[in-house]
Amino acid sequence: MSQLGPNIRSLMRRKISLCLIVVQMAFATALVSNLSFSSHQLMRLSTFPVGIEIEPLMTVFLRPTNAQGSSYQQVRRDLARLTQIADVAAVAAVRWAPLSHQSTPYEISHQANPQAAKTKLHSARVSPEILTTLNLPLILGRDLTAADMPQGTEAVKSIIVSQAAAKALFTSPENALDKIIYHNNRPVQIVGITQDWGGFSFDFKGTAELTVFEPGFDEISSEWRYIIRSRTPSPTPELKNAIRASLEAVHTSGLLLEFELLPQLYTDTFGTLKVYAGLMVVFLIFLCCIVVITIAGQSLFWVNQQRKNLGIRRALGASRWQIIGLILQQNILMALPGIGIGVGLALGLNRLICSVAVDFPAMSPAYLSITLLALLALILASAAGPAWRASLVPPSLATRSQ
Amino acid sequence: MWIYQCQLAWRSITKTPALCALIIATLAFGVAAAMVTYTSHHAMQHNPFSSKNDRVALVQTDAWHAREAFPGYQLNQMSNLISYRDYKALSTSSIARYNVPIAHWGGTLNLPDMRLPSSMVFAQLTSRDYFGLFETAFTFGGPWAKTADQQFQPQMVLTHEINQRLFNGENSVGRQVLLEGIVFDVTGVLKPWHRSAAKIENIDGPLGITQQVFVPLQLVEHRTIHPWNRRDCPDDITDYGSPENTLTKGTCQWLSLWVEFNKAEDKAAYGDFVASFISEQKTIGRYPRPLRYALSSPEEVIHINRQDRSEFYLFSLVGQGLLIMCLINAITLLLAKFIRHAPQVGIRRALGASRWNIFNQHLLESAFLGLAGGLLGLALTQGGLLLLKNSLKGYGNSAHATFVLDSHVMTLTLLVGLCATLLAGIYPAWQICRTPIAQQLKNS
Repeated sequence: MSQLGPNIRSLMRRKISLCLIVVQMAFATALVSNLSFSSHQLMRLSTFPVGIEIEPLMTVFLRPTNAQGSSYQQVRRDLARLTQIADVAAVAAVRWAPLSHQSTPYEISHQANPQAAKTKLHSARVSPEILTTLNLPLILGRDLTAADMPQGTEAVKSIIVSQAAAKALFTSPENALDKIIYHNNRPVQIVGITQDWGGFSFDFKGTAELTVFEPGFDEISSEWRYIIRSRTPSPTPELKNAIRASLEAVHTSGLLLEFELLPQLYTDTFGTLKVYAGLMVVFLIFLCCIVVITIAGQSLFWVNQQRKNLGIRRALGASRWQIIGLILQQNILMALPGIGIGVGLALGLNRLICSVAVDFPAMSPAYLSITLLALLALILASAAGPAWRASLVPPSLATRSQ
Repeated sequence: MWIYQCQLAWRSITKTPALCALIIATLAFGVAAAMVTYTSHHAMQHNPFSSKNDRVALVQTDAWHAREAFPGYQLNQMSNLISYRDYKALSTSSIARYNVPIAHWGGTLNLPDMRLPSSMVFAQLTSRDYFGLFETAFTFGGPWAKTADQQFQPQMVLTHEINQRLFNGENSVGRQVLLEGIVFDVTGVLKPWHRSAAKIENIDGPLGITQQVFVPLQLVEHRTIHPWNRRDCPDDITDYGSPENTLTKGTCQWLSLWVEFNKAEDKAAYGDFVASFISEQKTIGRYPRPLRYALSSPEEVIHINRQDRSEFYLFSLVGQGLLIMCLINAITLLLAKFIRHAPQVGIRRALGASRWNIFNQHLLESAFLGLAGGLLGLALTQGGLLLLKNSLKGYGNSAHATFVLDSHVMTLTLLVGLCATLLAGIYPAWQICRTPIAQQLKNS
């Protein structure tokens, strides 16, 4: 502590160097904290647990050539045929593939009034086998049955929602079960609540999707999907061939058929995030190297310039550890104003990031504090080498003439 | 004199190879980080119509219901899309040179004899004017007949890729293809066409999709189809009878309308026309909100849709921050390097070299280092862009295609490297040339 005054006076004599270090530390603080926070968030999102085992799952996209719509009877026939294939554990019809970023917007209100406040959910029309196929457990209520499927132009009467959707609508799953809500001013009943999962249209918030499983089949559309769970750990080429042969045998007028493996959809969804996170980590490493080079270079330069003074200090009784302490303290003193300015810059940059990437969370003060401590540790580590070198300056140097 | 100073600068560099290599590497990495991020951001907000930005506009109207403002993400709170009935009314104006409606659709494509495996294609529903506004070049043939925009005729323009797939790249004009059960006559084949990452023609269309065939929009009046656009539907309790009527006569907004004027002054006249149309619609109970419309230039469309504030914008800020840090680092290292050679400078000064000579010599040294840093930065920029392109390629992100190291980026990279180092070198060079001779000689 007694070295603080002389240290500050010594720093004030090197105003330009001090300014450079302050500016650099301010930028370093802003960038290091935001890069580490952003890359951490992206990595967290890219490893988001989807709540279902995706490896054995795949979807089959069907589009019969020249078809003008399709029928649910046709779908039931296909499902029955696909169930006959040995390696098929379960199969269901579904409008959208899970994790594909595609879903039907589903607005729900608590009253049959067009002006009423609405909650936006994501839905997909499904056949009753969907939860069995996804292996997504129900936490309350019952599964969909054949009786829930609307006939012709009949409206959907019962739906299953995810736990997150139940909470968004009624604050708790228990309150949501069996409740009547309104979609397009028509009443529908929540008959079951599933465990949370990644959903159809992942929203980059890292939270479970507000999903609605809506029993039904869009007969106007000429395309649809089956989701298939294979008995093998992942769908084999033989299984794909068997599925293709089975479907082509009944869709004799020609069929466009595409397989989508869920692990691939997962990679497609999260791969870009991983690339961005990787880019940030590269920048972060480079940034840390710059900080190390600057602090170490600056300290070394100062130590070389002050060898005579350091020798005098040693001759007057300063121990090696006191010399080390002196250099480290000088570096901390040089860095602190920059880090202080950097905290403001870091918060500003974080606000900008949040305004550009709407779903991105704000940096917590705890995270910022940890980053600052890490940065200080890095600064001390960078200055340790030059400080050690300074401590080796012999006291006899004081007696030598220039 | 200059050659002598160059020699001195070069000798000084070779005396401290490790320190110089560190300066060059730091600068190169800083320049590359700034340029890779700048290039990607620049590509993302590139305006393909920059040459006619004041003559091209997207028509936006506030046709939303009275109880709330349009809830979309657009900064001006107006949809990018309009309804088909509004398009039909607005396209009657002759003020605009080109009226280009754009909607998206698709389906299975094959030859009429079904001899190829069916494939899924994305179709752009548009008008003949599309090819004029987007200035697309044709390898074979041309756009469909003008009459096909008034009365549906099954005519189609293929992209280069689809022509390759169906006809092995031969001239397919006059031949037929089957799309969703409709036989179309091919009227033209486009040359390979690299779209901008901003994808102005695909605003509010399906994500990551590149159109492969072009079909007259009139198809929607000929056959029941379901366009693949998003639909923004204001409150409307009118029963239009059938799905096709709802699409063509309803108030749901599902197509974008671009217009091009012969001269920028025509834009105001067209604006008056749009305003009078909205006023007229108000008399029949539509457009309940205050009269508002926009003829947004492509640049404005990019801004309104926040395409200039993508994740690459953030990366470019980080890249610039890194470059500033590298610059400060270079200043520190150069200062250390120059002061180390202060005794030699003292001798030169004592032998008659002026301060200006000393300053020049050190600035030249900085320039050499900057040039080397710039060149290495250029290589790193190229490598970084390739890496970024390849990394994004596998994940359906189409933006990567425009991340290229063109002459503009190359020149800019070298200039940034050189200027950054010269800037970094000024202070150390000035510092060394103003040190008193006596002190320098004493130090030696």
